[in-house]
Amino acid sequence: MKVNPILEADNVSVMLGKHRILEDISFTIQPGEYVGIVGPNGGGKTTLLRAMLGLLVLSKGEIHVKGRRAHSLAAKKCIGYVPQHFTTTNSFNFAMNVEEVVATGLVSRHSFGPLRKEEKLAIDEALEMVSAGSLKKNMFSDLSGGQRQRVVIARAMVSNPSILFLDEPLSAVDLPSQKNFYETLSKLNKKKKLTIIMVTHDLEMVTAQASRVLCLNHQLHASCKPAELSTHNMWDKTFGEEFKPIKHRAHHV
Amino acid sequence: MFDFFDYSFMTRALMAGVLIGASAPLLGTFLVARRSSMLTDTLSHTALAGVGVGVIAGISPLLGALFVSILAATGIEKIVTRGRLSIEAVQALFLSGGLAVAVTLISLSHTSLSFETYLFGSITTVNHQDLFFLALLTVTTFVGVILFWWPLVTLAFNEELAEASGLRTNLIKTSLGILAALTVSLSLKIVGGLLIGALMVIPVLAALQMANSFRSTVVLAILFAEISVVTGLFLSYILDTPSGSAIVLVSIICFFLALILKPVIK
Repeated sequence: MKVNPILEADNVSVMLGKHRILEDISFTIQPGEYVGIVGPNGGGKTTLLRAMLGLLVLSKGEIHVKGRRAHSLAAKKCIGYVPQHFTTTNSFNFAMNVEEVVATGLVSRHSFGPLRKEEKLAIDEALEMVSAGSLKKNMFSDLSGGQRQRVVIARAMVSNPSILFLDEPLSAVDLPSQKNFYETLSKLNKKKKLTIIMVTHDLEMVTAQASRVLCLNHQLHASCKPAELSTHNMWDKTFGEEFKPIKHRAHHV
Repeated sequence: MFDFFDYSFMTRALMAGVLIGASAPLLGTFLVARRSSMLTDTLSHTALAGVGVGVIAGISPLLGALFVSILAATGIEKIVTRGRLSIEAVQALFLSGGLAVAVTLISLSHTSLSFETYLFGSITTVNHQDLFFLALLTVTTFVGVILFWWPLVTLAFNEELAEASGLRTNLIKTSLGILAALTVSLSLKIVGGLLIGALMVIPVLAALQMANSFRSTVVLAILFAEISVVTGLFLSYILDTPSGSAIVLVSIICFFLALILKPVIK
């Protein structure tokens, strides 16, 4: 039986000012895939992610999420998003507790009036899912980088999305927290069949965990299984010939 | 002191103050959370320019203030986008420009109007019409914030996340800006154009010393603002000083008390 793709990008081009950031990008993503998007700085990874989130106007092409245009509210109701920069201590210093932060994840479905009982339960479940139930009444600004990241994942997961987008989610997070984070993502992918699309510089994580890798440097150089990257010399094609991946201790490949 | 309520203007001033003390910090909380505290000063200075426009055009100064400050609230974002400028820079432009326009127009008009009233507030000037509009604004602000609480909190938390959730962030920001412009304009007579920004921000800063959630920040900010307004108005009456400065001084005392008591309470 043919399964409809959960996300389709068709000849997508994006211009920012006079600069062409993305050029004729086409790919599809199936439900339950764990996709890593890698490439050099300035290669258009975050731009592609923002395009998939419906946050950018495309110069050409179309992106559909579950058959709906990425800009539509219907598409946005299907997604969860973990942005960059929430791990640094000065990212948000206002008085807001963890429960309130997670509740903002329900806003695409619930934008009017107070929260219902079942929504409060969903918040508790999302926090338990990332082992952050005990942090519920803590101030978000008092949390460590790793704790913040778990809360932001709970926020993204509280609306029970079909796709989770993550944009370099582990900047300024220590190695043990990174390991916990990847374990949580892996669990969500395998147990909940959640589709994960992550922009990352962590090539070792990609080869260890992702089911597919998109190599991007303004154009899409490869869309393949991680194991196929080395055999087809895709690292060199994407990053340049001087490129050498470095291993670190957060993953055990 | 006890003959305070013998004067109807004092009763009106107190009622107006209580209404401002509720709506100003309510909006101020969202502005401070979005790091847009300066918007309050910018709008109040452009409202002063509106007072000048009202005097020159021969219409109500308050109407002029409303018109010009709403124009500024909607125009600032547009100039930021079109000129690719930082919001702080554009706000600074409107802030100093607003005051310059206000002083020039008032000087040219040779009016008998006391510009000081609009700069620092005066408790004797509040009339029934002002009270009616302030009540309408306060009810509108509260109903709007209660109904759209989560979109507003989401926008305050992170604009990109709000957009990714499908919220119409520009519409929310413009609505907040217009409500802030209305609050600033309608508060000119009580608190004054130079000081209303402080009443929108300082009670929030005091609340942040004690609050443990966004919701409690709003509640505490309103409480601190009401204490400041009521105490400030009494002091203004007793000491015969402008009401705005007395109100803001009390709010500053509240802030330092909250700061000192923070380790005990939090």
